[in-house]
Amino acid sequence: METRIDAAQPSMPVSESLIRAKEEVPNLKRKTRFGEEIIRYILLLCGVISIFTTIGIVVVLGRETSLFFQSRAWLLAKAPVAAEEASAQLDESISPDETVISLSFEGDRIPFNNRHFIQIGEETMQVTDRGRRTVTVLRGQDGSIASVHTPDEAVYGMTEVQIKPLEAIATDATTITLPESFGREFEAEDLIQVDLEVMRVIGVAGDTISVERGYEGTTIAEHDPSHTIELAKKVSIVEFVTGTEWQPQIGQFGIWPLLLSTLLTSLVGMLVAIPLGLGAAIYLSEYAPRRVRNILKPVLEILAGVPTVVFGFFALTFVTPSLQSFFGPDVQFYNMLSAGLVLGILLVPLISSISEDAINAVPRALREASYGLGATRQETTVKVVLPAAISGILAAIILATSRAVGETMIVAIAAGSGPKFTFNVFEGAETMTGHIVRISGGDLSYNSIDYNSVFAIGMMLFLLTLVLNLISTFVSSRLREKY
Amino acid sequence: MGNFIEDGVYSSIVASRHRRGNIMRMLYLTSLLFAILALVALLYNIVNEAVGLVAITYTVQPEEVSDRPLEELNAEELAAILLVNQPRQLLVTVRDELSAVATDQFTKIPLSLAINGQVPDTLAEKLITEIQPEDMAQILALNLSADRLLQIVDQRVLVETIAKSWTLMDSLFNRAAIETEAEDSYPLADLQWRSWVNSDFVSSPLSATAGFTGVLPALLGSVWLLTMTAMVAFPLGVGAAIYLEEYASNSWLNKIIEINIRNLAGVPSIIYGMLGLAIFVRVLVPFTSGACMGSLEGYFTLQPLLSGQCFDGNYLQGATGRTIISGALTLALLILPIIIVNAQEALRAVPTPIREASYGLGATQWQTISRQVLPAAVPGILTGTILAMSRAVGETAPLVVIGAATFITVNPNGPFSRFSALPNVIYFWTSQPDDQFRNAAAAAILVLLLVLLTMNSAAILLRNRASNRRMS
Repeated sequence: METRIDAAQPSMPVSESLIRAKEEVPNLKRKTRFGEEIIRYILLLCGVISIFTTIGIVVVLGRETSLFFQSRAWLLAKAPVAAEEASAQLDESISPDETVISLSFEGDRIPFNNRHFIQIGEETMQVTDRGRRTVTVLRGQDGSIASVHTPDEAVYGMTEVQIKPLEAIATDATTITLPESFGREFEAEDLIQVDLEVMRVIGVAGDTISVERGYEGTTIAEHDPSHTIELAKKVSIVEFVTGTEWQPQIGQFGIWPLLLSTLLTSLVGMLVAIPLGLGAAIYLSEYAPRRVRNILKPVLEILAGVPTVVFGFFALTFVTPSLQSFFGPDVQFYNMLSAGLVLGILLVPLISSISEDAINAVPRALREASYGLGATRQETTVKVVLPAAISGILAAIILATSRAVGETMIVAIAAGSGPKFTFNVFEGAETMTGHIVRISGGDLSYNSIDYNSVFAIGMMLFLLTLVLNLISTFVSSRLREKY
Repeated sequence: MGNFIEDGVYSSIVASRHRRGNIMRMLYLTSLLFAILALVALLYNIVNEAVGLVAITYTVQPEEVSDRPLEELNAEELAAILLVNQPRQLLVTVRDELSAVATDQFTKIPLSLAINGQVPDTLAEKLITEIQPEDMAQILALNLSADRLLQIVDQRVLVETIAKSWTLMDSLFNRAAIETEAEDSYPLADLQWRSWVNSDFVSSPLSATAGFTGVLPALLGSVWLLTMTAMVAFPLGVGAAIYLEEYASNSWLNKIIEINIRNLAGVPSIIYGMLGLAIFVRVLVPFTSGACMGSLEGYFTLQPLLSGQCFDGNYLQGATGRTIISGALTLALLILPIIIVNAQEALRAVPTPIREASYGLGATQWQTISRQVLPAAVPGILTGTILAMSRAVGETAPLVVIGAATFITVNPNGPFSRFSALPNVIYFWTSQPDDQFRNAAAAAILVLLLVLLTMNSAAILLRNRASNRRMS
């Protein structure tokens, strides 16, 4: 080897600079210019900002959600009080465990509403359902004991009155006297608030409750009998996740009405979007001649570019009246069905474009092999192409579901403006996103439980869509056929 | 070999298979057509609501205020009619039409500063509360066109009310029924054709009456939002895309960034709104309300920022973070993942040989990127950005959560002003129980669709130019 190199060396004198150059080979790769280093770090910063966004979302949602579960809703303390006159009589005698009671009364309609309290004898009951001449009740409410009742016994309707102290509360008083029989609404360890002062109930004796004044650092003050007493209520995670009523005014924070409405509208949307989207994708990629495809595909993309408010307008002004004339008066003005249908139309371009990509990615060789075996085009599509593209199609469907769950304006305009727990799609029920928009659109004081509840719902929404997106990525990568 | 299928049976099986194939093909075509039909129904519905017959009644008949037809009067004569009939409303009219500052300051600043227009020299230094109604009428006549003054006279003096409106289809095909209904219920009314989208609609302020409302503040708000969002999102997004495509190695940090961006693209837009509410509107209120730049003082100054005063809770009383800049930052965060993904695709589409040739000539990495890769990728990046911007223009939910005003009288005049946006007014008007707001909402939708059409056409033109370039 050495001989070789020696032989290759030129016989001409080698200049000094060349020798020096060979020894000090500049390392161009490592020594970048200083300005370029700065540019590189600036660009890295841009990339990192996206992490800040995610961190921001998680921190903000998490913090307000934890505040939500720590803060208290202050509800007016109320007790049911029987009316002076009886509104109905018992038709027949009832035993302590019967829940369906038949009544006799004047007029056609039972004079009690759902959630109304009624009193028979010494017992208080709550109405849960009404029939033509019967009511279904919960027995033994409000601390009373279920007992036998005789026929023709009077049934009194009850109204809920606010509880106020019977006499003024001086600054050094440690007991509060309540009107007759109202002491039953309080028990030890309850937190109550009168005006700006928070007190803790130590014990209850008849209609007098003994309290610890100035709890939680609030200032002790004098209160006169016109000030109402408020009871503290904390929301527990269990109640949030399993409750079926969302009514902040009475302290009910169960998320199921909102969640069920979201799921129902998304379900209706998917039932519309999947057949239409898949059908359109299959037609455009397998069957359509090129000229037809060049015209129809951009039209479908126009549908993807329309803002969702416009779809909401369409749902309220066109779809709802059409449904009402088709199905009759059962369809309420705000209903989940029209919102779901328009949601489906919104999702068709999404499913169609992703499925089309997946179908086009299937190699022609598979199709040609199938034709070679004698299959018709339709059989090839259904039995060869679709199964090969299934990962992309499933990913499209799950992505569309995630988009449907997070969709706001269509459901805010067309689906209803009050939370309701119902499976009937002809009724209006507010979704999670619609609720957030309605509450934030008004005046929201920053440290109230309503403000925090909005973020708790948002956290639920974020987790739901995150899980769906992760499943979609997982499905598309796991099931993907490697060609 | 096993059983041969007889000839007749075989061809009938094949025929039935082909028939089934044809049926399925028809089904697929039907589903495609159904989707397109939905789009057609959507557009038909909007146009149907936006044009039609209206029944107009006047509380005060035009003949009672002027002998000549109102359309022939010039600005001074119309202003004189206002002066004679509604002198007490003149101040409010001047404020609504010509104010250059916020409502509470309008009465405290001299006219030359408070008015967006000409002020006679004799009145320039006075406050609006110090001048006579005749002077206010003179200011109106100087600055407003006869058309606009005619509208104001209609609205305030004649109290022109739209009693009822009908859709286009009804107006075209049920004319007789409409006329009988108009005679029965609104005997004094005129029946006229009205397109709810007209030049007045685009240039008038918002109003509580559907017949007079315009979308100018909302349109300007959307334009402001669009510009500021682009200014923030475009550099950040393209920068991140360049980093991820050109510089990033396969380290864990870069993988996390990529996964993160994919996930963020799928987060519902309302969550971004809540993020914006909590951070930009609440925590960053010294900056987003403009307090640090002197918006509470009334003029531009950095004094509150430098002295730290703008972080003081007492100083910030009355400052609101629900400004254009909060909305723009939120929308920028929203479309950032889309821009990044699009820009990455555009950069990836630049062929590697171009980069390698550049390196081969001795260029550094940044020189290669800035002089070779970026120019080649610019059409694709711009297309993606314009598409992302058109998505941002149509977003309503984040802006509602941030606190875009539903009713605002003043046009936005800076990044720190309260604002409204086109999709928000559409949402607000659609949810009104009054039927006529539906027509106004349809008109606003047409304006919004026009804006989107412009943006998307620009994007398509760019895309075609890009693909032509690549093929040549």
